[in-house]
Amino acid sequence: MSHSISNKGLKLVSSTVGIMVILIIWHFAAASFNPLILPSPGETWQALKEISRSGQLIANLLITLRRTLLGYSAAIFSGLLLAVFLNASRFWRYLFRPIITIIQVIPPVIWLVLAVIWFGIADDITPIFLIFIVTLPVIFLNIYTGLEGIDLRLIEMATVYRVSKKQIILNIYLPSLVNQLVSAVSIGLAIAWKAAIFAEFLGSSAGIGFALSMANSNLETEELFGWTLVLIGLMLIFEYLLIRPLQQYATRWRQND
Amino acid sequence: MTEQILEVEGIQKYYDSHLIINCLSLALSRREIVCLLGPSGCGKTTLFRIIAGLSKADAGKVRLLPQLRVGYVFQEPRFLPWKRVEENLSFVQRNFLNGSEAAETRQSLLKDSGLEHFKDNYPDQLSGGMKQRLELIRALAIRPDFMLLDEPFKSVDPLLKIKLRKMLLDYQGKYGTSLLLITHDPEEAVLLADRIYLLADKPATVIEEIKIGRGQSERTIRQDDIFNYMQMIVKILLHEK
Repeated sequence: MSHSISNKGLKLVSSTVGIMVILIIWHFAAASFNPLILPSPGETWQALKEISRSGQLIANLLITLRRTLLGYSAAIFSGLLLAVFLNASRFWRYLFRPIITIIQVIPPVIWLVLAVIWFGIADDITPIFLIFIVTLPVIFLNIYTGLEGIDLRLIEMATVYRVSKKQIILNIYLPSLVNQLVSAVSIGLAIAWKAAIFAEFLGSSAGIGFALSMANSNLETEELFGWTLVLIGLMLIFEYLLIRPLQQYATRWRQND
Repeated sequence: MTEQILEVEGIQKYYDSHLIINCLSLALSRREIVCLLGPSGCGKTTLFRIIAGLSKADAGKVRLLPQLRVGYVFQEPRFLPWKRVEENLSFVQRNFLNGSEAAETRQSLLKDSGLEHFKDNYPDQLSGGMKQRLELIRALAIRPDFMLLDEPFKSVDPLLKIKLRKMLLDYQGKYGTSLLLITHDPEEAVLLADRIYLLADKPATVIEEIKIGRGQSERTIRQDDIFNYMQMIVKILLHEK
Protein backbone atom coordinates (compact mmCIF):
# COMPACT_ATOMS: atom_id res chain seq x y z
CA MET A 1 0.00 0.00 0.00
CA SER A 2 2.68 2.50 1.10
CA HIS A 3 4.67 1.37 -1.91
CA SER A 4 1.83 2.35 -4.24
CA ILE A 5 1.37 5.71 -2.51
CA SER A 6 5.06 6.55 -2.83
CA ASN A 7 4.89 5.48 -6.48
CA LYS A 8 1.93 7.78 -7.11
CA GLY A 9 3.71 10.61 -5.27
CA LEU A 10 6.82 10.12 -7.39
CA LYS A 11 4.74 10.17 -10.57
CA LEU A 12 3.00 13.41 -9.54
CA VAL A 13 6.26 15.13 -8.60
CA SER A 14 7.97 14.02 -11.84
CA SER A 15 5.04 15.16 -14.00
CA THR A 16 4.89 18.55 -12.24
CA VAL A 17 8.64 19.04 -12.61
CA GLY A 18 8.38 18.08 -16.31
CA ILE A 19 5.64 20.64 -16.96
CA MET A 20 7.57 23.32 -15.01
CA VAL A 21 10.69 22.68 -17.10
CA ILE A 22 8.69 23.04 -20.36
CA LEU A 23 7.12 26.29 -19.10
CA ILE A 24 10.49 27.73 -18.08
CA ILE A 25 12.10 26.84 -21.45
CA TRP A 26 9.04 28.25 -23.25
CA HIS A 27 9.22 31.45 -21.20
CA PHE A 28 12.90 32.07 -21.97
CA ALA A 29 12.58 31.07 -25.61
CA ALA A 30 9.61 33.44 -26.06
CA ALA A 31 11.71 36.34 -24.69
CA SER A 32 13.98 36.10 -27.73
CA PHE A 33 11.18 36.08 -30.33
CA ASN A 34 8.45 38.35 -31.59
CA PRO A 35 5.09 37.37 -29.93
CA LEU A 36 3.77 36.87 -33.46
CA ILE A 37 6.16 33.92 -33.80
CA LEU A 38 6.27 32.63 -30.24
CA PRO A 39 4.05 34.20 -27.55
CA SER A 40 5.11 33.74 -23.91
CA PRO A 41 3.17 31.52 -21.46
CA GLY A 42 1.81 34.71 -19.85
CA GLU A 43 0.51 36.11 -23.15
CA THR A 44 -1.02 32.74 -24.00
CA TRP A 45 -2.74 32.66 -20.60
CA GLN A 46 -4.14 36.16 -21.19
CA ALA A 47 -5.48 35.07 -24.60
CA LEU A 48 -7.01 32.00 -23.06
CA LYS A 49 -8.74 34.13 -20.41
CA GLU A 50 -10.08 36.41 -23.14
CA ILE A 51 -11.42 33.46 -25.18
CA SER A 52 -13.11 32.16 -22.06
CA ARG A 53 -14.53 35.57 -21.03
CA SER A 54 -16.04 36.21 -24.45
CA GLY A 55 -17.94 32.94 -24.33
CA GLN A 56 -16.11 31.59 -27.40
CA LEU A 57 -14.46 28.79 -25.44
CA ILE A 58 -17.65 27.09 -24.26
CA ALA A 59 -19.54 27.71 -27.52
CA ASN A 60 -16.82 26.24 -29.77
CA LEU A 61 -16.00 23.49 -27.34
CA LEU A 62 -19.61 22.29 -27.28
CA ILE A 63 -19.83 22.34 -31.08
CA THR A 64 -16.63 20.31 -31.53
CA LEU A 65 -17.56 17.90 -28.74
CA ARG A 66 -21.01 17.31 -30.21
CA ARG A 67 -19.61 16.61 -33.68
CA THR A 68 -16.89 14.32 -32.34
CA LEU A 69 -19.41 12.42 -30.25
CA LEU A 70 -21.77 11.96 -33.22
CA GLY A 71 -19.13 10.88 -35.76
CA TYR A 72 -17.32 8.76 -33.22
CA SER A 73 -20.43 6.95 -31.92
CA ALA A 74 -21.52 6.26 -35.50
CA ALA A 75 -18.05 4.81 -36.21
CA ILE A 76 -18.12 2.61 -33.07
CA PHE A 77 -21.61 1.34 -33.87
CA SER A 78 -20.87 0.65 -37.55
CA GLY A 79 -17.40 -0.78 -36.81
CA LEU A 80 -18.84 -3.19 -34.26
CA LEU A 81 -21.66 -4.27 -36.56
CA LEU A 82 -19.33 -4.68 -39.54
CA ALA A 83 -16.82 -6.70 -37.49
CA VAL A 84 -19.53 -9.09 -36.26
CA PHE A 85 -20.95 -9.48 -39.78
CA LEU A 86 -17.60 -10.07 -41.43
CA ASN A 87 -16.55 -12.48 -38.75
CA ALA A 88 -19.73 -14.50 -39.18
CA SER A 89 -19.80 -14.80 -42.96
CA ARG A 90 -17.04 -15.60 -45.39
CA PHE A 91 -18.98 -13.98 -48.24
CA TRP A 92 -19.26 -10.63 -46.46
CA ARG A 93 -15.65 -10.90 -45.39
CA TYR A 94 -14.43 -11.30 -48.99
CA LEU A 95 -16.73 -8.51 -50.14
CA PHE A 96 -16.00 -5.87 -47.50
CA ARG A 97 -12.45 -6.52 -46.31
CA PRO A 98 -10.76 -4.84 -49.35
CA ILE A 99 -13.15 -1.89 -49.06
CA ILE A 100 -12.11 -1.33 -45.44
CA THR A 101 -8.45 -1.43 -46.44
CA ILE A 102 -9.09 1.11 -49.22
CA ILE A 103 -10.90 3.43 -46.77
CA GLN A 104 -7.97 3.06 -44.38
CA VAL A 105 -5.19 3.89 -46.85
CA ILE A 106 -6.85 7.00 -48.31
CA PRO A 107 -5.27 10.02 -46.51
CA PRO A 108 -7.69 12.07 -44.36
CA VAL A 109 -7.01 15.19 -46.44
CA ILE A 110 -8.53 13.50 -49.51
CA TRP A 111 -11.63 12.55 -47.53
CA LEU A 112 -11.86 16.15 -46.36
CA VAL A 113 -11.60 17.52 -49.89
CA LEU A 114 -14.24 15.05 -51.04
CA ALA A 115 -16.49 15.92 -48.09
CA VAL A 116 -16.24 19.64 -48.91
CA ILE A 117 -17.13 18.85 -52.55
CA TRP A 118 -20.03 16.62 -51.53
CA PHE A 119 -21.44 18.50 -48.54
CA GLY A 120 -19.92 21.99 -48.84
CA ILE A 121 -18.54 23.93 -45.88
CA ALA A 122 -21.55 22.79 -43.95
CA ASP A 123 -21.87 23.38 -40.24
CA ASP A 124 -21.94 19.78 -39.14
CA ILE A 125 -21.94 17.18 -41.84
CA THR A 126 -18.39 17.68 -43.21
CA PRO A 127 -16.57 17.28 -39.85
CA ILE A 128 -18.90 14.47 -38.74
CA PHE A 129 -18.28 12.61 -42.00
CA LEU A 130 -14.51 12.98 -41.70
CA ILE A 131 -14.51 11.81 -38.08
CA PHE A 132 -16.64 8.81 -39.05
CA ILE A 133 -14.65 7.74 -42.10
CA VAL A 134 -11.23 8.16 -40.46
CA THR A 135 -12.19 6.40 -37.22
CA LEU A 136 -14.23 3.54 -38.71
CA PRO A 137 -11.33 1.35 -39.98
CA VAL A 138 -9.48 1.64 -36.65
CA ILE A 139 -12.55 0.64 -34.64
CA PHE A 140 -13.43 -2.13 -37.08
CA LEU A 141 -9.93 -3.63 -37.18
CA ASN A 142 -9.59 -3.70 -33.40
CA ILE A 143 -12.93 -5.40 -32.86
CA TYR A 144 -12.44 -7.77 -35.79
CA THR A 145 -9.05 -8.84 -34.40
CA GLY A 146 -10.71 -9.34 -31.02
CA LEU A 147 -13.36 -11.59 -32.53
CA GLU A 148 -10.75 -13.62 -34.37
CA GLY A 149 -8.77 -14.01 -31.18
CA ILE A 150 -11.59 -15.45 -29.07
CA ASP A 151 -10.36 -18.61 -27.37
CA LEU A 152 -12.46 -21.37 -28.89
CA ARG A 153 -11.27 -23.77 -26.21
CA LEU A 154 -13.33 -21.78 -23.71
CA ILE A 155 -16.42 -22.17 -25.88
CA GLU A 156 -15.77 -25.93 -25.98
CA MET A 157 -15.43 -26.04 -22.21
CA ALA A 158 -18.73 -24.20 -21.81
CA THR A 159 -20.40 -26.54 -24.33
CA VAL A 160 -19.31 -29.61 -22.36
CA TYR A 161 -20.89 -28.09 -19.23
CA ARG A 162 -24.08 -27.33 -21.19
CA VAL A 163 -23.82 -23.57 -20.65
CA SER A 164 -26.51 -21.77 -22.67
CA LYS A 165 -25.74 -19.70 -25.80
CA LYS A 166 -26.81 -16.54 -23.99
CA GLN A 167 -24.45 -17.23 -21.08
CA ILE A 168 -21.63 -18.00 -23.53
CA ILE A 169 -22.15 -14.63 -25.24
CA LEU A 170 -22.33 -12.79 -21.92
CA ASN A 171 -19.50 -14.60 -20.16
CA ILE A 172 -17.08 -15.48 -22.96
CA TYR A 173 -17.66 -13.45 -26.13
CA LEU A 174 -18.24 -10.05 -24.48
CA PRO A 175 -15.42 -10.17 -21.92
CA SER A 176 -13.04 -11.43 -24.66
CA LEU A 177 -13.96 -8.37 -26.69
CA VAL A 178 -13.83 -5.81 -23.89
CA ASN A 179 -10.07 -5.46 -24.14
CA GLN A 180 -10.16 -4.85 -27.88
CA LEU A 181 -13.15 -2.55 -27.49
CA VAL A 182 -11.34 -0.40 -24.94
CA SER A 183 -8.29 -0.32 -27.15
CA ALA A 184 -10.48 0.63 -30.14
CA VAL A 185 -12.22 3.33 -28.11
CA SER A 186 -8.97 4.87 -26.86
CA ILE A 187 -7.12 4.88 -30.20
CA GLY A 188 -10.31 5.90 -32.02
CA LEU A 189 -10.98 8.82 -29.70
CA ALA A 190 -7.59 10.44 -30.31
CA ILE A 191 -8.03 10.01 -34.06
CA ALA A 192 -11.61 11.31 -33.98
CA TRP A 193 -10.57 14.36 -32.00
CA LYS A 194 -7.75 15.22 -34.42
CA ALA A 195 -10.04 14.62 -37.41
CA ALA A 196 -12.65 16.95 -35.90
CA ILE A 197 -10.16 19.80 -35.52
CA PHE A 198 -8.72 19.17 -38.98
CA ALA A 199 -12.16 19.16 -40.63
CA GLU A 200 -13.24 22.31 -38.80
CA PHE A 201 -9.99 24.04 -39.66
CA LEU A 202 -10.53 23.62 -43.39
CA GLY A 203 -14.16 22.77 -43.94
CA SER A 204 -16.42 24.36 -41.35
CA SER A 205 -17.62 27.68 -40.02
CA ALA A 206 -17.70 26.86 -36.32
CA GLY A 207 -15.91 24.80 -33.66
CA ILE A 208 -12.44 24.81 -32.16
CA GLY A 209 -10.80 23.98 -35.51
CA PHE A 210 -12.53 26.97 -37.08
CA ALA A 211 -11.48 29.20 -34.17
CA LEU A 212 -7.89 28.02 -34.71
CA SER A 213 -8.19 28.81 -38.39
CA MET A 214 -9.48 32.33 -37.62
CA ALA A 215 -6.69 32.98 -35.12
CA ASN A 216 -4.21 31.82 -37.74
CA SER A 217 -5.68 34.06 -40.48
CA ASN A 218 -5.75 37.08 -38.14
CA LEU A 219 -2.16 36.44 -37.03
CA GLU A 220 -3.30 36.09 -33.39
CA THR A 221 -0.62 33.61 -32.45
CA GLU A 222 -1.26 33.86 -28.68
CA GLU A 223 -4.89 32.84 -29.33
CA LEU A 224 -3.67 29.95 -31.50
CA PHE A 225 -1.53 28.80 -28.59
CA GLY A 226 -4.47 29.29 -26.22
CA TRP A 227 -6.70 27.02 -28.26
CA THR A 228 -3.89 24.46 -28.52
CA LEU A 229 -3.68 24.42 -24.71
CA VAL A 230 -7.44 23.81 -24.58
CA LEU A 231 -7.01 20.84 -26.95
CA ILE A 232 -4.17 19.38 -24.89
CA GLY A 233 -6.17 19.86 -21.68
CA LEU A 234 -9.21 18.12 -23.12
CA MET A 235 -7.23 15.13 -24.38
CA LEU A 236 -5.60 14.80 -20.94
CA ILE A 237 -9.03 14.87 -19.29
CA PHE A 238 -10.30 12.16 -21.68
CA GLU A 239 -7.17 10.11 -21.12
CA TYR A 240 -7.20 10.21 -17.32
CA LEU A 241 -10.92 10.28 -16.59
CA LEU A 242 -12.20 7.95 -19.30
CA ILE A 243 -9.58 5.88 -21.12
CA ARG A 244 -7.27 4.90 -18.23
CA PRO A 245 -10.08 3.82 -15.86
CA LEU A 246 -11.62 1.84 -18.75
CA GLN A 247 -8.28 0.18 -19.50
CA GLN A 248 -7.78 -0.63 -15.84
CA TYR A 249 -11.22 -2.21 -15.67
CA ALA A 250 -10.69 -4.24 -18.84
CA THR A 251 -7.37 -5.67 -17.67
CA ARG A 252 -8.15 -6.01 -13.97
CA TRP A 253 -7.72 -9.80 -14.09
CA ARG A 254 -4.22 -9.48 -15.55
CA GLN A 255 -2.81 -7.69 -12.54
CA ASN A 256 -0.50 -9.94 -10.60
CA ASP A 257 -0.57 -9.48 -6.88
CA MET B 1 -24.97 -56.56 -13.27
CA THR B 2 -23.84 -52.93 -13.12
CA GLU B 3 -25.45 -50.55 -15.58
CA GLN B 4 -23.31 -49.55 -18.53
CA ILE B 5 -23.20 -45.79 -18.92
CA LEU B 6 -20.87 -45.50 -21.90
CA GLU B 7 -20.38 -47.69 -24.90
CA VAL B 8 -17.98 -46.84 -27.69
CA GLU B 9 -18.22 -49.08 -30.72
CA GLY B 10 -15.88 -49.28 -33.67
CA ILE B 11 -14.83 -45.64 -33.69
CA GLN B 12 -12.76 -44.47 -36.62
CA LYS B 13 -11.33 -41.02 -37.09
CA TYR B 14 -9.24 -39.50 -39.83
CA TYR B 15 -7.22 -36.33 -39.56
CA ASP B 16 -5.96 -34.88 -42.85
CA SER B 17 -6.43 -38.31 -44.50
CA HIS B 18 -4.38 -40.01 -41.74
CA LEU B 19 -6.20 -42.65 -39.75
CA ILE B 20 -5.66 -41.75 -36.10
CA ILE B 21 -8.28 -43.94 -34.40
CA ASN B 22 -9.08 -47.34 -35.83
CA CYS B 23 -12.03 -49.52 -34.82
CA LEU B 24 -11.80 -48.57 -31.18
CA SER B 25 -14.39 -50.04 -28.82
CA LEU B 26 -14.72 -49.74 -25.07
CA ALA B 27 -17.32 -49.67 -22.33
CA LEU B 28 -17.72 -48.15 -18.90
CA SER B 29 -20.11 -49.09 -16.10
CA ARG B 30 -21.54 -47.03 -13.28
CA ARG B 31 -19.02 -46.40 -10.45
CA GLU B 32 -16.25 -47.87 -12.55
CA ILE B 33 -12.78 -46.38 -13.02
CA VAL B 34 -11.24 -47.15 -16.38
CA CYS B 35 -7.86 -45.98 -17.64
CA LEU B 36 -6.77 -45.57 -21.23
CA LEU B 37 -3.07 -46.26 -21.22
CA GLY B 38 -0.98 -45.56 -24.26
CA PRO B 39 1.83 -43.44 -25.62
CA SER B 40 1.42 -39.67 -25.82
CA GLY B 41 -0.14 -38.39 -29.00
CA CYS B 42 -1.80 -41.69 -29.96
CA GLY B 43 -5.27 -40.19 -30.34
CA LYS B 44 -6.65 -40.53 -26.80
CA THR B 45 -7.61 -36.86 -26.53
CA THR B 46 -9.39 -37.08 -29.90
CA LEU B 47 -11.35 -40.04 -28.56
CA PHE B 48 -12.32 -37.99 -25.49
CA ARG B 49 -13.46 -35.13 -27.72
CA ILE B 50 -15.64 -37.56 -29.65
CA ILE B 51 -17.15 -38.97 -26.45
CA ALA B 52 -17.81 -35.43 -25.14
CA GLY B 53 -19.48 -34.43 -28.43
CA LEU B 54 -16.82 -31.86 -29.33
CA SER B 55 -15.73 -33.76 -32.41
CA LYS B 56 -17.44 -36.18 -34.80
CA ALA B 57 -16.23 -39.70 -35.56
CA ASP B 58 -15.92 -40.77 -39.21
CA ALA B 59 -17.36 -44.17 -38.33
CA GLY B 60 -18.66 -46.00 -35.26
CA LYS B 61 -21.01 -45.13 -32.44
CA VAL B 62 -20.85 -43.53 -29.02
CA ARG B 63 -23.69 -44.34 -26.64
CA LEU B 64 -23.71 -42.27 -23.48
CA LEU B 65 -26.66 -42.52 -21.10
CA PRO B 66 -28.80 -39.42 -21.59
CA GLN B 67 -29.07 -36.86 -18.79
CA LEU B 68 -25.68 -37.80 -17.37
CA ARG B 69 -23.76 -35.00 -15.75
CA VAL B 70 -20.42 -35.03 -17.54
CA GLY B 71 -17.34 -33.41 -16.02
CA TYR B 72 -14.31 -32.93 -18.24
CA VAL B 73 -10.79 -32.34 -16.92
CA PHE B 74 -8.93 -30.87 -19.89
CA GLN B 75 -5.25 -31.56 -20.36
CA GLU B 76 -4.48 -27.83 -20.47
CA PRO B 77 -6.52 -25.90 -17.89
CA ARG B 78 -9.25 -23.80 -19.52
CA PHE B 79 -10.55 -21.01 -17.33
CA LEU B 80 -12.34 -17.77 -17.94
CA PRO B 81 -9.43 -15.45 -17.10
CA TRP B 82 -11.74 -12.52 -16.25
CA LYS B 83 -13.60 -14.53 -13.62
CA ARG B 84 -12.29 -15.27 -10.16
CA VAL B 85 -11.56 -18.82 -9.01
CA GLU B 86 -14.94 -19.30 -7.31
CA GLU B 87 -16.79 -17.69 -10.24
CA ASN B 88 -15.12 -20.15 -12.60
CA LEU B 89 -16.66 -22.95 -10.54
CA SER B 90 -20.12 -21.40 -10.35
CA PHE B 91 -20.06 -20.73 -14.12
CA VAL B 92 -20.27 -24.48 -14.86
CA GLN B 93 -22.59 -25.32 -11.97
CA ARG B 94 -25.60 -23.22 -12.97
CA ASN B 95 -27.20 -25.90 -15.16
CA PHE B 96 -26.79 -28.73 -12.71
CA LEU B 97 -27.17 -27.63 -9.10
CA ASN B 98 -29.44 -25.20 -7.29
CA GLY B 99 -27.95 -22.20 -5.48
CA SER B 100 -27.35 -23.68 -2.02
CA GLU B 101 -26.24 -27.07 -3.34
CA ALA B 102 -23.81 -25.36 -5.69
CA ALA B 103 -22.39 -23.10 -2.96
CA GLU B 104 -21.99 -25.99 -0.55
CA THR B 105 -20.18 -28.12 -3.15
CA ARG B 106 -17.92 -25.20 -4.09
CA GLN B 107 -16.93 -24.49 -0.52
CA SER B 108 -16.15 -28.11 0.23
CA LEU B 109 -14.09 -28.56 -2.95
CA LEU B 110 -12.19 -25.32 -2.41
CA LYS B 111 -11.40 -26.43 1.12
CA ASP B 112 -10.35 -29.97 0.16
CA SER B 113 -8.15 -28.73 -2.67
CA GLY B 114 -6.46 -26.10 -0.53
CA LEU B 115 -7.70 -23.30 -2.79
CA GLU B 116 -10.00 -21.81 -0.16
CA HIS B 117 -7.80 -18.76 0.36
CA PHE B 118 -7.47 -18.18 -3.37
CA LYS B 119 -11.15 -18.20 -4.26
CA ASP B 120 -11.12 -14.46 -4.99
CA ASN B 121 -8.00 -14.61 -7.14
CA TYR B 122 -8.01 -14.60 -10.91
CA PRO B 123 -6.71 -17.79 -12.60
CA ASP B 124 -3.66 -15.93 -13.93
CA GLN B 125 -2.63 -15.31 -10.35
CA LEU B 126 -2.43 -19.06 -9.59
CA SER B 127 0.59 -21.34 -9.91
CA GLY B 128 0.63 -24.26 -12.36
CA GLY B 129 -0.24 -26.78 -9.65
CA MET B 130 -3.11 -24.64 -8.37
CA LYS B 131 -4.52 -24.37 -11.88
CA GLN B 132 -4.41 -28.15 -12.21
CA ARG B 133 -6.29 -28.44 -8.92
CA LEU B 134 -8.85 -25.91 -10.07
CA GLU B 135 -9.34 -27.79 -13.34
CA LEU B 136 -10.05 -30.96 -11.36
CA ILE B 137 -12.44 -29.40 -8.86
CA ARG B 138 -14.33 -27.57 -11.60
CA ALA B 139 -15.25 -30.95 -13.07
CA LEU B 140 -16.20 -32.20 -9.60
CA ALA B 141 -18.20 -29.05 -8.87
CA ILE B 142 -21.18 -30.26 -10.89
CA ARG B 143 -21.28 -33.53 -8.90
CA PRO B 144 -20.75 -35.45 -12.12
CA ASP B 145 -22.08 -38.92 -12.90
CA PHE B 146 -19.28 -39.41 -15.38
CA MET B 147 -15.88 -37.78 -15.70
CA LEU B 148 -13.44 -37.61 -18.57
CA LEU B 149 -9.96 -36.92 -17.21
CA ASP B 150 -7.31 -36.15 -19.80
CA GLU B 151 -3.98 -36.60 -18.04
CA PRO B 152 -5.19 -34.70 -15.01
CA PHE B 153 -1.96 -35.04 -13.04
CA LYS B 154 0.43 -34.47 -15.92
CA SER B 155 2.41 -31.49 -14.69
CA VAL B 156 1.80 -31.88 -10.98
CA ASP B 157 4.56 -32.47 -8.45
CA PRO B 158 4.61 -35.94 -6.81
CA LEU B 159 3.27 -34.83 -3.43
CA LEU B 160 0.36 -32.94 -4.90
CA LYS B 161 -0.30 -35.85 -7.24
CA ILE B 162 -0.89 -38.12 -4.22
CA LYS B 163 -3.23 -35.56 -2.64
CA LEU B 164 -5.23 -35.02 -5.83
CA ARG B 165 -5.57 -38.75 -6.52
CA LYS B 166 -6.87 -39.25 -3.01
CA MET B 167 -9.31 -36.38 -3.37
CA LEU B 168 -10.57 -37.77 -6.67
CA LEU B 169 -11.07 -41.23 -5.20
CA ASP B 170 -12.85 -39.81 -2.15
CA TYR B 171 -15.35 -37.95 -4.34
CA GLN B 172 -15.70 -40.93 -6.63
CA GLY B 173 -16.55 -43.09 -3.65
CA LYS B 174 -18.96 -40.53 -2.21
CA TYR B 175 -20.95 -39.82 -5.38
CA GLY B 176 -20.39 -43.07 -7.31
CA THR B 177 -18.97 -41.26 -10.29
CA SER B 178 -17.67 -43.26 -13.26
CA LEU B 179 -14.23 -42.19 -14.37
CA LEU B 180 -12.54 -42.55 -17.74
CA LEU B 181 -8.96 -41.46 -17.39
CA ILE B 182 -6.18 -40.94 -19.92
CA THR B 183 -2.66 -41.55 -18.79
CA HIS B 184 0.64 -42.73 -20.15
CA ASP B 185 1.89 -43.65 -16.70
CA PRO B 186 1.42 -47.41 -15.96
CA GLU B 187 1.80 -46.80 -12.22
CA GLU B 188 -1.04 -44.32 -12.22
CA ALA B 189 -3.23 -46.64 -14.26
CA VAL B 190 -2.77 -49.52 -11.85
CA LEU B 191 -3.16 -47.27 -8.82
CA LEU B 192 -6.52 -45.93 -9.85
CA ALA B 193 -8.24 -48.21 -12.33
CA ASP B 194 -10.62 -51.14 -12.13
CA ARG B 195 -9.82 -51.87 -15.74
CA ILE B 196 -7.14 -50.69 -18.13
CA TYR B 197 -7.39 -50.45 -21.89
CA LEU B 198 -3.96 -50.66 -23.43
CA LEU B 199 -3.88 -48.65 -26.65
CA ALA B 200 -1.66 -49.02 -29.70
CA ASP B 201 0.10 -46.03 -31.19
CA LYS B 202 -1.18 -44.41 -34.40
CA PRO B 203 -3.79 -45.39 -35.21
CA ALA B 204 -5.14 -45.79 -31.69
CA THR B 205 -6.94 -49.04 -31.06
CA VAL B 206 -7.42 -51.30 -28.03
CA ILE B 207 -4.77 -54.01 -27.99
CA GLU B 208 -5.39 -55.39 -24.50
CA GLU B 209 -7.93 -55.09 -21.75
CA ILE B 210 -6.54 -55.66 -18.27
CA LYS B 211 -8.81 -56.21 -15.27
CA ILE B 212 -7.16 -55.05 -12.10
CA GLY B 213 -9.83 -56.72 -9.97
CA ARG B 214 -10.78 -54.70 -7.00
CA GLY B 215 -13.95 -54.71 -4.94
CA GLN B 216 -15.97 -51.53 -5.25
CA SER B 217 -15.69 -51.03 -1.49
CA GLU B 218 -11.93 -50.67 -1.33
CA ARG B 219 -11.35 -47.31 -3.00
CA THR B 220 -7.90 -46.77 -1.59
CA ILE B 221 -4.59 -46.28 -3.23
CA ARG B 222 -2.72 -49.55 -3.53
CA GLN B 223 0.68 -49.86 -1.97
CA ASP B 224 0.87 -53.65 -1.58
CA ASP B 225 2.52 -56.56 -3.41
CA ILE B 226 -0.43 -57.07 -5.73
CA PHE B 227 0.01 -53.49 -6.84
CA ASN B 228 3.70 -53.99 -7.55
CA TYR B 229 2.94 -57.20 -9.41
CA MET B 230 0.19 -55.65 -11.56
CA GLN B 231 2.32 -52.64 -12.30
CA MET B 232 5.10 -54.92 -13.53
CA ILE B 233 2.72 -56.84 -15.79
CA VAL B 234 1.32 -53.66 -17.29
CA LYS B 235 4.80 -52.31 -17.93
CA ILE B 236 5.84 -55.56 -19.64
CA LEU B 237 2.67 -55.58 -21.76
CA LEU B 238 3.14 -51.97 -22.71
CA HIS B 239 6.71 -52.65 -23.68
CA GLU B 240 5.88 -55.81 -25.70
CA LYS B 241 3.02 -54.27 -27.64
